[in-house]
Amino acid sequence: MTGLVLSDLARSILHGLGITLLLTLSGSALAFVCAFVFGLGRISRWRSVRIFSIVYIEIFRGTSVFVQVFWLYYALPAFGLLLSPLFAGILGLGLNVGAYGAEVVRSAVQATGQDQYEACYALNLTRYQSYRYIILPQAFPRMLPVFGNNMVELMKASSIVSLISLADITFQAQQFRIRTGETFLPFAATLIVYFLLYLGILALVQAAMRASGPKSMKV
Amino acid sequence: MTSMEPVFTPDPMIAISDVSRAFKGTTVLDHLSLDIPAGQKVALLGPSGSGKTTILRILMTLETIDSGQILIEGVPMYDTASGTPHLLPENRLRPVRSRIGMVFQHFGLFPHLSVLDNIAFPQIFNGRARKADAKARAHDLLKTVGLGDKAYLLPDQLSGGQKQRVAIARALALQPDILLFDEPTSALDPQRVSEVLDIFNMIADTTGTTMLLVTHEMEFARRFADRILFFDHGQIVEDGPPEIVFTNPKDARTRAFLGLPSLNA
Amino acid sequence: MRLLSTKILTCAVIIGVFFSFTRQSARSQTAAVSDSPQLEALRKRGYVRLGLSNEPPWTVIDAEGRTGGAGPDLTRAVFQRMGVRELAGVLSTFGALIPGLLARRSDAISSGLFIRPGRCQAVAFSEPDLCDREALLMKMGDHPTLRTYRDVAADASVRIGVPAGGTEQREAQAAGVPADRLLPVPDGPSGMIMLRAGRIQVYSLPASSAQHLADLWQGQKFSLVLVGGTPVMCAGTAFRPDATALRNAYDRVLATLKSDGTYDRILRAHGFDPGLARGHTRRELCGEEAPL
Repeated sequence: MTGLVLSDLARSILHGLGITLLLTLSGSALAFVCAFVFGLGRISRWRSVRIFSIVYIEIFRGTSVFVQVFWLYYALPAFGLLLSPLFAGILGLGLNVGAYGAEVVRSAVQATGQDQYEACYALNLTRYQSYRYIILPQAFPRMLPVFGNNMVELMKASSIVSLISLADITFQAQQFRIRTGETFLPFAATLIVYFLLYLGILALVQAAMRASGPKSMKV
Repeated sequence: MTSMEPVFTPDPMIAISDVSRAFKGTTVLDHLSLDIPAGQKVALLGPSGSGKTTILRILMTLETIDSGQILIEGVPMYDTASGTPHLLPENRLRPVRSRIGMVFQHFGLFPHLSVLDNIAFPQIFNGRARKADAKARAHDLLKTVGLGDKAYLLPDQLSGGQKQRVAIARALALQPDILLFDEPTSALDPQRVSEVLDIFNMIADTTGTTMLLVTHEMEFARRFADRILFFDHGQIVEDGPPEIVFTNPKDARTRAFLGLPSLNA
Repeated sequence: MRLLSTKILTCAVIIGVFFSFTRQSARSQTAAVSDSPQLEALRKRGYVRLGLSNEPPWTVIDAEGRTGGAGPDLTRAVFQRMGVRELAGVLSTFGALIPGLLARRSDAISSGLFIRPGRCQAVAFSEPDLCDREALLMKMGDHPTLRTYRDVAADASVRIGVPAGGTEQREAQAAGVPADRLLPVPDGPSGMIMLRAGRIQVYSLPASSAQHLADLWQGQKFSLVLVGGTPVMCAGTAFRPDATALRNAYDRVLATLKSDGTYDRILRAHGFDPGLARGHTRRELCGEEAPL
């Protein structure tokens, strides 16, 4: 293995890493927002909001992320909407994982004890205050581990963006294989990089768990 | 009631008139009528399922009624124009409900907030006080219930009795006119019961709050209340001061419950 | 040819059906204009977006993302002659090339897209530019008698690898190779590894691709034979169905390059035989139905 080939590989992987990171972080941010909007929408007082949320959740959970990204990129232009590859990728991944997240938010909120809702009511808190300061802060730590899993899934699913002309790590490794015929090296490199990203997400979730725990521990 | 009414017969603090409530076909409250004047200390006794806890939950608007009306110092809780009672819309119900506080059997403390914040936050949320004032008031209340040194602990770091006192302080912080207690002694060691009684008496003496409590403890009810209501099958079967209800009740069911010999025996 | 995963194919069909509804109206609009407004637009913009997938030696993309190979080099030469100076590659997987063109993600495809009757209904092909024969690649000394797909069908000990969804798959099936001895191969390097590991005994793919792979694996001994009894396959540059005027302009310049020697020079540089394409036309390759 010559140094030239190794530096070619390193450059390819680094270029791909930028795209994969961007997709994972932006996609997760979008998924996070969708999870809360539609997870709470799912248990809204308003029927129309509930129905809209259920439709979103079931459509995006019930069809593959592959098909969703494909539609966003290749079918929407027929309706006059030409999304950039990066935007289509973030949108597809975010909306898909957001639908799973919405169910996480819903179940975490519903797992909060009835006594908490009744206490809020008896203390004359508004619905917004109850959710914002009492219910969600208790439910949030329950959501975090699953959100972490979802983020890992999103990172792994991000390799489908080669479909829409985005050169992520997997695509770059594949291009490297086709250029050089070398298979072991690029796959070993992607394996390691994905695993490091996984560890990074794990650390992120742990930090979030620590930050979201009860803060008044001064004895 | 109109303004022509003489001032010396004020509206009762709580007026329950002809209230019925059934859960899945089982009657829990059966045409119940009851007036409670301001400042009265009332203990609700009776066998399990007799409807006494339901009364508290209905007053707190955690449950609704099937028929009848409830007035808090003359202000109705229900819109009865259509024949069946509908709880008033939230914006009109809030001022009424804000006069009522409740201490739950299992306290319902917020586990993610410190003891201090449990007491301070509801004041802030209700617009009763700014943050600093709310916290100062919370500290005062904690001292009053004997937990001045526990302000920064989490609820789960407290004993059952301590949790209850935090719940009482939290309810008191909103300065309610009516305080409801659901089984306040059930989570306490027997030797702690008199401490709770002291707190209750202190509340009554210093604030004049109308207090309703549901309990199984006869002795506690006798020492606390100036009026005992004995419930059975959704109806009040005995109503009077403790010295009468406990020593010479009229109703056979009350006598049986208290282990007294039947009157016709 | 090549790399069509079933999923992509399904999506492409869905999108294809979808676009076929919008196609007719778009076509009648541009038919009224004598000169190509698309070409004018490309000239004004200064570059053409070319849908590419990395398939050496048809298309070669280097580590810096620079585009080369027989297809893009030829297309670049034609477009430069048409007054469009730059070429911007839109890199994707092979299966996403046609959907990308139809969704206006690219202006043309030049990545060794074989002219086949089905495809002629979806895109407007230029006259054939790169032609090739099918080849069989195997370990040196293995099965020296294999020459045709029929030979493969007859030998129960031989498993054959073919580009997933490609022409070779249909040819081999037609010759009687049973499904359990017909393995789809996702890409060239994978095919070579399967061959070396004995998962397949023969790897069938276009001769120029086979030669490229054999060169890449020069440390090991592979033998390459042209498949007997199969037609020459020809690729063309593909345009959107509504861009026939642009395509016609492209054809005129392509014909010029074929006659002035430029075409031959580019093809030879990449190891293609410039003579093959001269024997074929779009009309013939598209079959019975009239091509776009």
